[in-house]
Amino acid sequence: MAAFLLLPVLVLLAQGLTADFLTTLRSPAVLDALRVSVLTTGAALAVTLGLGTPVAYLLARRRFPGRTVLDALLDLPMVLPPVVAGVALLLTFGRAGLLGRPLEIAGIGLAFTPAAVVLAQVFTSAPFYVRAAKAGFLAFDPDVEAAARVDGASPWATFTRVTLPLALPFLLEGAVLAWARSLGEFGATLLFAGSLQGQTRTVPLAIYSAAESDLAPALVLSAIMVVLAFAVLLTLRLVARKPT
Amino acid sequence: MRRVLALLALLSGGAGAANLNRLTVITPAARPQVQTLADLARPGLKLVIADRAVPAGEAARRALDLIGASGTYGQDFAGRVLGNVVSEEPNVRQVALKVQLGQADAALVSVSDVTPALRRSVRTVALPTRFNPPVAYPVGVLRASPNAQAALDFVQFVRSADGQRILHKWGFLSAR
Repeated sequence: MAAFLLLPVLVLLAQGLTADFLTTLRSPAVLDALRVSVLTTGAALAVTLGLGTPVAYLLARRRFPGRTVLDALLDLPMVLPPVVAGVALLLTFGRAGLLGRPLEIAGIGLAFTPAAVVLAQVFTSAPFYVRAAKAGFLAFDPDVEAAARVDGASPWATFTRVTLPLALPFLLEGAVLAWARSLGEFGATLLFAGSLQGQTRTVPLAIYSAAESDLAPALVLSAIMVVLAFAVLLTLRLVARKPT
Repeated sequence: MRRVLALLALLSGGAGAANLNRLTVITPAARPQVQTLADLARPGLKLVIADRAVPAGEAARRALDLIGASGTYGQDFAGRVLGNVVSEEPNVRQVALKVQLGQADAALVSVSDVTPALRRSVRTVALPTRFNPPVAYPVGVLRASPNAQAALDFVQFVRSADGQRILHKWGFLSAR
């Protein structure tokens, strides 16, 4: 299994890590794509953590009518083909869409902006985080939280000093999954945000665009993406391991 | 162009243009933002074109250069229009979709991309033919083809009156 998963990646690296690697890395198109990807996936992760954590906590702790249905519904973006997700976002947040028109009137124009890229990334990646975070909040006995409360901790202190540290490995795992998913996001971004160098053209879009004319720069860019993603994933694993 | 020449080198008998295509401007029918070509340079217009590597994208840039060179709409026309480009799509179908769903104000696509389904939701603004040289689509038989006769029959059908009628129905211009 490991060989099946690794071999194509290694072949890609072998093809991409050529003599042109450094020259291609320094070209404006590649630097722009890397900048757009780093900024948008960073913003998408921040939004996912900020809004996804409370949702996951509610799903794990509270019983309310429709909880199971909501739980299942939140997984839907994971099964939607990205292109369908992009069309759904266009119909909702597009300039002629359900919420897009009121937003436009309010002066918030999302169309073809990096914010639209972030929206597409959050939509397709947040469920991975919410799923993992919920598992994290269910992984320990809630009585520990109750004990902290009995000892006089405020709800906020209980959450930050007890709940978060106990769920942290799961939260990190979910954050890594969600970030990786948004870094590779292609279909929904292209449909909803378009593709313009320096604005909305993320690394996967730049790879696709380059592959239209010549495979070589596309392979170099793919290798850059693999190296970058591996560095981040490895760092996060090392950071997550330290406390224990 | 290099790619087309490389392609032609692979072809033998019966090679030639199967059909021609031209560019057109499309804008959402519900909210048309472009009445004349000059509107393409209006500040703030959201224009979508195809990537340079896509035939329609290459043709769009060439058409803008021709319009700019003519001076009809001012010297810097091509630059101002390209400044309005909010997305360069790798696929012409997606260029059209952006206008169909009202996300973009206008797009440059091939006439054959304006399918009957699309025609209901967009309005087209014709590009004068002097700015709009036809794009030729070559057809031919591969030199190494193991089914040369069947391939030749197909090429001849495409170039026949019946074949051209079908292509015409889908928005292509006849090469004959």
